[in-house]
Amino acid sequence: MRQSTTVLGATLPLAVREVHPAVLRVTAISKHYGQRSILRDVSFELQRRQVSALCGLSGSGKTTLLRVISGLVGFDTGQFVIGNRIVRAGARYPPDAYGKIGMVFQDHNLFPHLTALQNVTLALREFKRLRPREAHDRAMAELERMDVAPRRHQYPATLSGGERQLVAIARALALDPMLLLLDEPTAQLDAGRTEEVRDRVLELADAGMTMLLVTHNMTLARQAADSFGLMKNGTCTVSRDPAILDELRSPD
Amino acid sequence: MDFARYVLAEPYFGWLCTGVLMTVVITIASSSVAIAIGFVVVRCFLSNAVVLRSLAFCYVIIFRNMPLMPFLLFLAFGLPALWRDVLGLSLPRGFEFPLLVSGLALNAAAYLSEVLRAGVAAIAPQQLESARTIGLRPSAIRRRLVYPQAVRIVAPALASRFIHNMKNSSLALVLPLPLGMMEVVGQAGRIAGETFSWAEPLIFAAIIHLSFALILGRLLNQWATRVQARVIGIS
Repeated sequence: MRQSTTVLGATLPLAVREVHPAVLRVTAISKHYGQRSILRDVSFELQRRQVSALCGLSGSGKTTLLRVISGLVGFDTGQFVIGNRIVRAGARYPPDAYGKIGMVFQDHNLFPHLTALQNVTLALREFKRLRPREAHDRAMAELERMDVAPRRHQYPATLSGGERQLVAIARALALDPMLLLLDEPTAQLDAGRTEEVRDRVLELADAGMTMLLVTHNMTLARQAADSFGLMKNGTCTVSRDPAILDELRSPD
Repeated sequence: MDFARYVLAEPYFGWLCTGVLMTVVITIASSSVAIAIGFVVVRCFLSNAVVLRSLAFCYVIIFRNMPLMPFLLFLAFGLPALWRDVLGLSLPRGFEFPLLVSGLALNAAAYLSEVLRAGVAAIAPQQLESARTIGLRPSAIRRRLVYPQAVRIVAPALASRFIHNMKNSSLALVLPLPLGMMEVVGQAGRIAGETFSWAEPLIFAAIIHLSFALILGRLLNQWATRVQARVIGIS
């Protein structure tokens, strides 16, 4: 007897899932703010090493979806599975799920009173409870990977926009998450800085990091992602074909 | 005016020096206690428990609106009398200094906690969200992110509260402190009591207060500008 499961709207043999276990499986999530429906019945699945680009007009629910997955806001119906944890609507977000999902915000949200290095070591000390030495080495490894290690003693105020975003990525990666959520990481950067961040994101994709990348940058989406989600009025359509993003092109 | 006779001559100069030292001691002691109380009050304001928030609110309302001198007078004379009437005991000896310090600190902490609360309110909520996504618990967020930044954000206001505390220390003269524990204005009054010469010792005390306030104000402002620059995004 062939068991099957629904992935990305298509029916696939269960065996496929076992080879590439799902890191994130979102099932029928909806969210309202009062009368306004922000997310409607959103379902999708991210497998290990998969990079998915989530695009859509402003206000289509992209950021809310990331905030739901990262546990910053609740949702009304549905559930999602992250690793071996199930998060149900209305239930408490499991505290250990925070370390499993790394989140990079549009405007970096670094801690201004801490140096780049301290920004990265903070959670290693407080959440992972590493010794100072171990936390330092772990943080340095991520800062080096993001190519900002020489700037480690700078405060966020003295870093460039691109460097801040790279430190923010290093901070998220330091906890060794199984999934990295990036919320328009290049939205506030000029072309040169965008390239800096894009290169690092592409390297991460090559290294097999599972990522959900919200972006308005179609070039970045096409280069980094192997699947594409289009958000529209709170609904999400997923495809392997980047052509679904074509409707977002400005009519010129 | 005869400063040589009423200020620089012994034993008066010795008294005034003791006074200067006590001004410093009272200021530092009351400020330290005020900082401790201030943080407890801010912690209560940040609590989810309505009871704690209401208590903090009442504390601030009461102590910010109560004039300090009658409060100190109450501590010095009303409280021992109450103590005697209710418990039938007299307060232990040497109670004046702790009472003075707690009186000044309770007053200062009410202002201090409001200043700190403004600093807490100024921290961008997105920053605290990012702290949650890296797994920090509320206690760690308060200890490592909220308080350190709040202090930096309101550093200039904290500096000016410290100067206020120093000036308020002169209200110690309403308490029956042992002679050796009186601060500089009290010592000036003591000299006046012996010599009937008020102007010189009080001018000396005024000069001490003014120069301390100016020097400390300058140093604290340098500190404040330095630590504030980082958190409000100027480099």
